[in-house]
Amino acid sequence: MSLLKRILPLKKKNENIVWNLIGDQNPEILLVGHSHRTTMALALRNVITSKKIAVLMESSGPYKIPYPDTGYWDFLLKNKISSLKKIIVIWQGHLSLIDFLLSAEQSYKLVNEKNLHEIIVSDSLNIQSIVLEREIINTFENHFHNDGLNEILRIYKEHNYETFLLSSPPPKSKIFINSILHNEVFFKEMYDEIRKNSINQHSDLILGDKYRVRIWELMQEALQNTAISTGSKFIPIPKNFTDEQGILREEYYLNDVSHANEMYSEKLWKTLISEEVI
Amino acid sequence: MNPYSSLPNKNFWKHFKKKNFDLSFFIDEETQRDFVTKKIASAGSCFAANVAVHLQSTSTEYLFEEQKHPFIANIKNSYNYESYSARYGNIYSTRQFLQLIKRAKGTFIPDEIIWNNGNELNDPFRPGINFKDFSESEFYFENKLHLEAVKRAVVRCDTFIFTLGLTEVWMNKKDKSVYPSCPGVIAGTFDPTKYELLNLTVNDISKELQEINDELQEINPKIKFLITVSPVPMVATANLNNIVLSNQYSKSKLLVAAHEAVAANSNMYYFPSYYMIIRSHTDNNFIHDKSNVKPEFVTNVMKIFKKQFNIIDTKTDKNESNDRLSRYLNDECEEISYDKFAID
Repeated sequence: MSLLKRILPLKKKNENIVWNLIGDQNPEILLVGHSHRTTMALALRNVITSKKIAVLMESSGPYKIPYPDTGYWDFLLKNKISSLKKIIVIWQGHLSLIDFLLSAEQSYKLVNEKNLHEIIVSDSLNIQSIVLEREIINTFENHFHNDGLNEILRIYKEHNYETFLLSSPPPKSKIFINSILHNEVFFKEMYDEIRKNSINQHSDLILGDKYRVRIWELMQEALQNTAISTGSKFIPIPKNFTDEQGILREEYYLNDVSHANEMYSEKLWKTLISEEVI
Repeated sequence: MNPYSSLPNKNFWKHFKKKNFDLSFFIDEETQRDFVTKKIASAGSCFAANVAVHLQSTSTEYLFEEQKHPFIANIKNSYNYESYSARYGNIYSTRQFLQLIKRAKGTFIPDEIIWNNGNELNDPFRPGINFKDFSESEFYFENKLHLEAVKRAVVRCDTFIFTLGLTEVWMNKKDKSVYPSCPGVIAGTFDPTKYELLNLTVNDISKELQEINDELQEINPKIKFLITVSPVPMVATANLNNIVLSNQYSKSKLLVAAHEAVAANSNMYYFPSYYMIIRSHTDNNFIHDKSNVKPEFVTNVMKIFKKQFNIIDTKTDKNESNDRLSRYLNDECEEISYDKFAID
């Protein structure tokens, strides 16, 4: 019986997957979560610290990244790790890319507290091109809630762990994404499908860097709100991981649309430890 | 020879019985011959949400003038985005609909546009919408977009469908604004010195239907105005009568006013979904709560609606329609909020 049975949308337990700890076998700090956990686990090898850290992974090896099922989130509740004090959750960073990667020939006007005074609502204005940033944040929070994040943080708190919510990697440049899209099975299918259905099949459908950075920032705000509402601490990505435009620095790219590499994770661990964030 | 001897079959109950109380009896051939619609907008009480759902994928375009932007397309809860042509939620009374059109035109500005209790903002006229973390300026901006969308729906449609639902209305004593639900039930705070109950009379409703039609025609001179009466009973009454008597009284007034308004205006039509559901061959048209109509029966009524107004299906996805409707009834129907005050 799952301890997380109240989280309906979570993937059902897959009996073929065995979850185990990578890193210290008696950890005080444990990182759990979606696909970005993989490079965080690999990077642990190069992190020298007195802190006892582990990442919850699958025993088949860290290169395979099955989506965490109910058994994954149950693991540390069922296998009492007496040394464990802190849990870091990393959550679905790809959301900002999957849902917002493609522009689908729509125009956008992101409206917030600062710029709404500049927009005059009138008959001639295409009001459907306007989207309030506040609604995007609320949408993200809804996603997180419906997918079980609030419940996971809540139940870990209930078991007296100190909980952290770690930000996901910032977006990559449009130039890079266009250059690797042909290798990406998931995004390529999405891209081809939208291109097929679009009026202008030759148009550039990848959303510009500026918009993807802004949407990623809004996602961070939603993660922060979720952390606050569940009594967790939000860990933002340090500023020096991105360029001036807010795009992830190229040296941290993994060769796909959304993931950061081991060097990124190593630097992130080191920053979190040296600045005593965890 | 007498007036009855030359009347068509449809004028005799015997014929209705002979047709085994079949819904096709209700098709008005004269209207069917002439009625052409390419773009439909709608509003009304919760039964009206059926219209938007069932007119998807048909030969007519159902207008959504206030859609979720693709950026937020995957939002799980629709927050009233896809229930009607704009994001107004349920409009139960003629007074509420008239007020909305006047607000969209800018000829009426309520004193209370926002309810701010210090923790959250609410729209008195759309209490079911979540404005979590909105600032007041963001709220006012969203409101402007909303009212612009309402106006666009009227401008762009060739037929506007309105379903009359209730006659009991909560009103602001000072500026005479009316609300979809009593302040304090979903949002706001009830203050008897500020708000009062109003029970619209037949005369009020007839007059307001005429005013609505005039206002719609002023914005869109070629508009057709199609009205229906919701068969869904009231959830609660704040009057002294019991709920059954209040409901019957209310529906009777709405029906009388609807017929009178249609008789007086050549661009107005009445679709008898109320009678179809109350008077069809089966007594079992409502789900177990005897309140909401079974989806399959709504589908049958909407089939007649489409035949009546020459609307052809281009694709049918029954499950999707039913899912959207049940989500709507569970999440977005403001009147259902009164139910929580009933002691089991």
